[in-house]
Amino acid sequence: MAQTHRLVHLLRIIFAVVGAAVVLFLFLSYSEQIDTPLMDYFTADFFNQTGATNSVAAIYLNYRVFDTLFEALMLMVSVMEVINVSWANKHAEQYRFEEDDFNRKNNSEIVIRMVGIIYPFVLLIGLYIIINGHVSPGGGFQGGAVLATALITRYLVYPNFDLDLHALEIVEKLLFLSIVMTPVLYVFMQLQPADTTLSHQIYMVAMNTLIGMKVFTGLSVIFYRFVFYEGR
Amino acid sequence: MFETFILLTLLVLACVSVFSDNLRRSIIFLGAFSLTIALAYLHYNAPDVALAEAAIGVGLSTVMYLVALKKVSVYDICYINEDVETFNDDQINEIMDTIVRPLELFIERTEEIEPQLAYTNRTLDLVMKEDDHDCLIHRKGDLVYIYGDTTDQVFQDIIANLNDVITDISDIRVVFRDEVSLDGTDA
Repeated sequence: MAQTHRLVHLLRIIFAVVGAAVVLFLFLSYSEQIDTPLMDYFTADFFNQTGATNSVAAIYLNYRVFDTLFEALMLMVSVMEVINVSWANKHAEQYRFEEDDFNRKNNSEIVIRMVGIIYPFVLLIGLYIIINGHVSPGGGFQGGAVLATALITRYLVYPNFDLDLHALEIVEKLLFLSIVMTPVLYVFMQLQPADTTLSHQIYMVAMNTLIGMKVFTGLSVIFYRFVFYEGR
Repeated sequence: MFETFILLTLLVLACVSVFSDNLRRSIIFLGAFSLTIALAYLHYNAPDVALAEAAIGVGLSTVMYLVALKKVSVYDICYINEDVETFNDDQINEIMDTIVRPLELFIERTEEIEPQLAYTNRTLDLVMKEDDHDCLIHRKGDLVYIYGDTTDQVFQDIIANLNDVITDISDIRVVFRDEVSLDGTDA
């Protein structure tokens, strides 16, 4: 690891402490009285306010989008943890597969055939769950997990280590940045092109897609990291 | 009624997956458990949670456990009985209590290696030539032969404890594959 300057180190600590103080101050000094019970507030008029047909999507993408940001942060921190705090990092050389890159003999024939048939349908249902997250049950997290399952099943059939984990990790961080930026601009700062249902729905689909892609890359990185570097 | 059925199934599946002697079976039972609990969530009107449970519990974690199990060392045993036309569950059940269960338990508990058994009715020569099993159990009429290597520590342990492991069959003949060739002459 490269040696960082002591001043940079100090600045980082000060930044973290000030940030924590601001969040704590805002959290403690803020209070809002709602004259209706919370359940009615969330469920009475959610379609007109948020454009979501599914009240759960209305809550996690609009009313309580702050929670979603921290959920996304949690996944990103665990990915960083798996990569940087692993004991295997000391001898972190990637395991290479043997020359014959498609060694069918060690794998079950049944699994290979069935996965080949099921694969496109798994991808389809994953994309469907993501795109329709604001209409039907599901959403970014569930769809992303289904997509990640598809990529992980690929390992059972074709155990080749040709994925660029570093690129996936960077993509995940960029996706997290856009996941934070989109609701900050759209919901918190109200920079909306038009206050219509269509505009809200476009926001919902965009957010679900971003979350889905982020969960997909995050879970894949965790799994392939374990497979490549840990164990025998 | 439906609710009671689902909850009882959950309880049974959880117990079976914990008390199962074989890790692979445990994983499959755990997947079935996840599927049932997803059904329970659906019954309680929580389709979002059910979908997440189905994606994570049935898909991701099952595949992850299976891959992890693949990296665990496995002791590979092949049971050969040439007299059988086709191997079905009856034949396997017949030897279940006498050979399969005790051997699996011994390897799992004492040696702490995952046992894996295969059954075949092909001839002994063919299996020895084509497949690479750690240990072969060959049944010929009333006689039971057990084949293994002298260098194999697990096999040595099995031989040493054979009287305690397989108590029902007193007459088992041990053949060391690397010392004896198939036609009876010394290798």
